[in-house]
Amino acid sequence: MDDRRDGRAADGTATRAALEQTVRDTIGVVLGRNIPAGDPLVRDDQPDWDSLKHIELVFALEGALGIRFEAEEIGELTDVDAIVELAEKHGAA
Amino acid sequence: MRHELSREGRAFRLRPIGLHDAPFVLSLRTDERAAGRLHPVPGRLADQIAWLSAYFERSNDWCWVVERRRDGAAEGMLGLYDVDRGAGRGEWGRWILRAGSLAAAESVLLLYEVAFEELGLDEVRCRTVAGNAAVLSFHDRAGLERIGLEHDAFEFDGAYVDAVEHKLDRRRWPAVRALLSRAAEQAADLEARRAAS
Repeated sequence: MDDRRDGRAADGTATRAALEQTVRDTIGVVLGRNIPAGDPLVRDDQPDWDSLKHIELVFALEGALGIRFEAEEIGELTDVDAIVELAEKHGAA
Repeated sequence: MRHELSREGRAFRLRPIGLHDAPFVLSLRTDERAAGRLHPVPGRLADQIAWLSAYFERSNDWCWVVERRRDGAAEGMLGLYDVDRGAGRGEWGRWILRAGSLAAAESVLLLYEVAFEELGLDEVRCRTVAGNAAVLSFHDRAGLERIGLEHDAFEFDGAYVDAVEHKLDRRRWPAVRALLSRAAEQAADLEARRAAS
């Protein structure tokens, strides 16, 4: 399946790259800084990703991705890859 | 000290700590996520029981377990100590929550409510290990004022570490309460999902 320039595959589903970019953009808005591609952004290494920001981020991601995380997953949103994987699991588009 | 001061939030409550909480406190404090971010940790249950016994004898020291309201599960602990009600001030700390807990905002909100509204304090301070960036960020974002850096404030296994001191006074309390209340409401919404699932 070829991915198109808009980040969507031929069947219209979001590619992982597009989804990851949305995640990075959303985290960037919440943390107030650019999150460059390739930065794994591990929560424990981010001084400004505190528990207040984490709650804010959960709601921002849910709004941006049109999904709802399970309560047990909220503590697992610890880096970009983990967020993307959970978002994919919920069918984020 | 032994006290009966509890405080209820929407999703969590503060209840007085008891001797029966010693195993829980020990498990919290030895959690490797907390390693290096706490005051020296009594490493054995007997030491923790001794620490709690000594705490019960101090008259200006309140310590609580943070408890989830829906099922009474212990989420963490915190304390308000060195309280001088005549001078209207005290220090809070010993704050530790289990990994993944959503109780951060509400537990601190409840502690400030106790400090300002029940005990009538005018100012509370807290000291955080300088390397604990997440907690420093929490206090900064909540609206506390950074007032200094204390060198060699805490000792961990013979090594001394610096601490950043924050202050919240009565003048700033309404703004901090508004911010923490919003965060606590959001966390309670998430916690409600757990209850529903």
